[in-house]
Amino acid sequence: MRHIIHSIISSLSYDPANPLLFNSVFFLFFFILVTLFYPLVVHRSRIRVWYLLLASLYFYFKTSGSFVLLLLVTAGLNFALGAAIYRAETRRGKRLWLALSLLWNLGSLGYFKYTNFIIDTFNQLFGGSLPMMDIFLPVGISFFTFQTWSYTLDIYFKKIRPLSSFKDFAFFVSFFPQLVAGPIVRASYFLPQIHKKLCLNDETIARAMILIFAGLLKKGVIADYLSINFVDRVFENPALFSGVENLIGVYAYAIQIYCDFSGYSDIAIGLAALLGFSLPINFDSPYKAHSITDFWRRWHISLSTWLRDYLYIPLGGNRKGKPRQYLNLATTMILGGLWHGASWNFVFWGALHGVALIFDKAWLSLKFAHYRLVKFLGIIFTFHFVCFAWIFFRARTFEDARTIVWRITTAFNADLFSHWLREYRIVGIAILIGFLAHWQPDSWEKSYQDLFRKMPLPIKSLTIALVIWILFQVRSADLQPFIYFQF
Amino acid sequence: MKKDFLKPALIFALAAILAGLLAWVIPAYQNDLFPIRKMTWFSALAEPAAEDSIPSLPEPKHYQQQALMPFLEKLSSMPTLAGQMGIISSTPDSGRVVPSGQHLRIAYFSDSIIEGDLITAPIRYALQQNYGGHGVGMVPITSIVSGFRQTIRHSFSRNWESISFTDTHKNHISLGITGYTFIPRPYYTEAKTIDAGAADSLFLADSLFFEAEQDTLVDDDDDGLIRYYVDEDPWVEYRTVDIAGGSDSFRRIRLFYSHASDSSFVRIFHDSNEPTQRRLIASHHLQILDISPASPTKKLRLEFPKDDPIHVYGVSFDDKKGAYVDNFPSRGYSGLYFQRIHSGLLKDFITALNYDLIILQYGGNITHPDNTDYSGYRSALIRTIRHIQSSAIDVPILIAGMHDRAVRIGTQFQSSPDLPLLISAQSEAAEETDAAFWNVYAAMGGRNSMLDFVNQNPPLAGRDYTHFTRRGADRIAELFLDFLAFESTAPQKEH
Repeated sequence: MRHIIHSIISSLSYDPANPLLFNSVFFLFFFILVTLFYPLVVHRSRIRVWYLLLASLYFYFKTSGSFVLLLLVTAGLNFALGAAIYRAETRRGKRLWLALSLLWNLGSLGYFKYTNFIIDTFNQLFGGSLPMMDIFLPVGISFFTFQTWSYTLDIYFKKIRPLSSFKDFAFFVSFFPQLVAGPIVRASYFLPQIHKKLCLNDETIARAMILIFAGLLKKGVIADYLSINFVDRVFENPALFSGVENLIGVYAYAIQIYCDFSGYSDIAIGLAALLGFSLPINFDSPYKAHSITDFWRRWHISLSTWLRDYLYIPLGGNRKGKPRQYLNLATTMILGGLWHGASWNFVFWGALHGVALIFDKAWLSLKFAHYRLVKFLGIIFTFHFVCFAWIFFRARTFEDARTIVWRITTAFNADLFSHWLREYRIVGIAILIGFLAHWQPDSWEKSYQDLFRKMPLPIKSLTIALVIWILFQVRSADLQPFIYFQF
Repeated sequence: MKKDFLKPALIFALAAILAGLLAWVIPAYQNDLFPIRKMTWFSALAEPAAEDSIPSLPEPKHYQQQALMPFLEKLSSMPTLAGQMGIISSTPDSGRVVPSGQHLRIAYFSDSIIEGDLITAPIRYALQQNYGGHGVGMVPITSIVSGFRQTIRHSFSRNWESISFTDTHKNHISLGITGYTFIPRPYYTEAKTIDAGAADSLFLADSLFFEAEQDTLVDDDDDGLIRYYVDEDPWVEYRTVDIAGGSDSFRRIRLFYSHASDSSFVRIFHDSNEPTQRRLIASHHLQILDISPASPTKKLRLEFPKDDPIHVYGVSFDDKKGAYVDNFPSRGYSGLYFQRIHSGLLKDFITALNYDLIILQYGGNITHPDNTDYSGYRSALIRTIRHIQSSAIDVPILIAGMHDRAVRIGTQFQSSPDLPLLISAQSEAAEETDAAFWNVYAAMGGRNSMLDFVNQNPPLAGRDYTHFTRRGADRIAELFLDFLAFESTAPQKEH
């Protein structure tokens, strides 16, 4: 008994080796506890804000330890600067305060995320030997920085008025469902909900549950299994694998990153909904896109709209002539690429998408492009272009990315496919299920919801218990042994 | 209204209880496709991890490190390149001399963990930095990892038959020092599958084998593989790569072969020069053809007649002086039954290449978390070491123990619990045969050090928790050099 109490108490503190994830047992109990007492406070909005704020700060503490202070400082500064922008009477004054907000947000993001990248680039360009710094990247910094930043920007663009209570603002920034991996919620979207009278009906519960199931299965089954059992190996040493394995690796990565990222977003949206809050949709079956423009309307929507509204449009958008529009597109996509991580690979990935968007503008202006058959071919082409770009996104170095392309184009060895399928049956099945689920008609989702809504409560619980059991099986499965094909 | 907000808590709380029930009800179920495990739910909290049951590591006091002395002495007496520090401390008057005619060579045998010149390239680089040397040493004719190897650019036609340790039915054909024998063929066969993690079947079959007569050359067609006939003569091409562990030019080049006939020949292309044709010597013994260019070159191409089934073993790129490390990986191989390299041939190779140290680093294809008895393995390993010793009199042998490897225990990765037993068996075999022993597992940091290797950024090992990345292999090479330095300064042990 003492052991149990001890392990419960020790599990409450921050463990850098095991940051809190949605698909962990700890989170399940955390969420049960939060929802258990939530009905007592849900209709008293001031206490409700305190309640969720403290729960969220604890959640972030479990994920990132003392960086919870950074979160509060960033929130505090942007809160103060938001008020200052609003109060400033001249345009110059407003700009000055906005510049300060920009400086802090870009500065903190830059310091944690890009210092070593800049040092490394400097060393390579000028043959210097500046030492790398040992900087730990706080979880979710890219997300919460963009959220706090949207607040000062929205005030500057006069879309919202500043909040009077820092507690409310801190709650908006730290709300735990979306805190570490998005969606990036705009101040203008979320602030009005803070003191709203919340309600929850069976319809919403069913929709939320389906999102949580789908998210858990996408993240915990498809993404985690594929990553550790196949994708990581190929991208670690692409030269060790034949072209056909590299190609499967790229396809598998395409479904893995989608499942990983959108799965986490889905869970976030579902959890928030169970607490009565609405978060914007973040992924809309992106591989159904028939053009790159369409892809970016479906992939990480909260980021692409953020970049559109706060970068592309302020740069001039499409209002200053074609050449300027193309330049704006490229700039936006390159910076968007860099947002994903600090390396030239991400820059290149962003640039690829930027060029594709420019091409798209010309292409979509043709009538021909909107024929049904052309659109269908567009889905296939777009998917493959996106996959091609993923190679650069995922590969550790540019050299590795080139190796993958080189293996696929010069050492394909198609006859290995049947061997591969025999040895990697489960990986093959996981990829297939991933894509089939992705390409299923949108209408099916509604019918799952209806089905779930009609279930009696114990059956609902049993369904979740089954999902937990499945997650356990995948997480404790033996690793697929390294199979090499002699070719 | 409030009641609605209680629903999620009820649903999830009940789910947590039901999950416990499922864990209790659903049994484990073994099958080939996806084995089902018994879920641990609340019990995971209650049970302390069973660390006590892990066997302990062998005591270093039994290691026969004096076996290394001839090698270490040679290393410390070798003249270093001007201005360089020796790898190990040398006598004060022997340093700072331009390299004279001294030659140092290591044969490094292992499994997939050294594929692509991992571990060996950084060792070669460090030694050549100190003692000079030009070339990557012995290179096979074909290789499954030629695209992965960075220290030499290596390409070849498909119509080579390649016989390795894992081709048990070709027992009558001796392998070369590389662990392979290559035969020119007018055809190629479809791909083979090798599981780099599974237990090597040779280990199980070890007792069935005997050293076959060398001269019974049977054309064994019984491999069940479909043949695709081609018109071109089999060829192999090597190009220099000027990176650490590689070399900027080819100086001395030697071709190793046997089983040629009176009409056998090879066409040799140096750089883009006109080919020269050289006769081969008909013999069933090891033959060495010196095909060194007149002046250093960057590219070599060899062509053999497709209908002449001679045994080609490899090409050595080196020079008369300096230090060399030969990279000999055999994927999926346990390191047992070295008798596949027949005594006579092994002896000829060791004499020709003049080795100063033979390293055997195996275990990855033997370990299994459930194994509890390695006595059979130990005996087989002793036989392997004795076989090498009988052909390599006076050449020190170093057994490098199994490195740390993690497997899933429950939902956590941990060191495979059998490793201390396996490593003990390896060190005992070394002790029994007077071979030196290097405990790689301990050098990495012991139990669960593989987790640190995998979790480094950039990672030092792959997510199979078994194979090192290039960076991780560099780390192992460093540990190896540290080991040599340590052994050369360690006080002589009582024995």
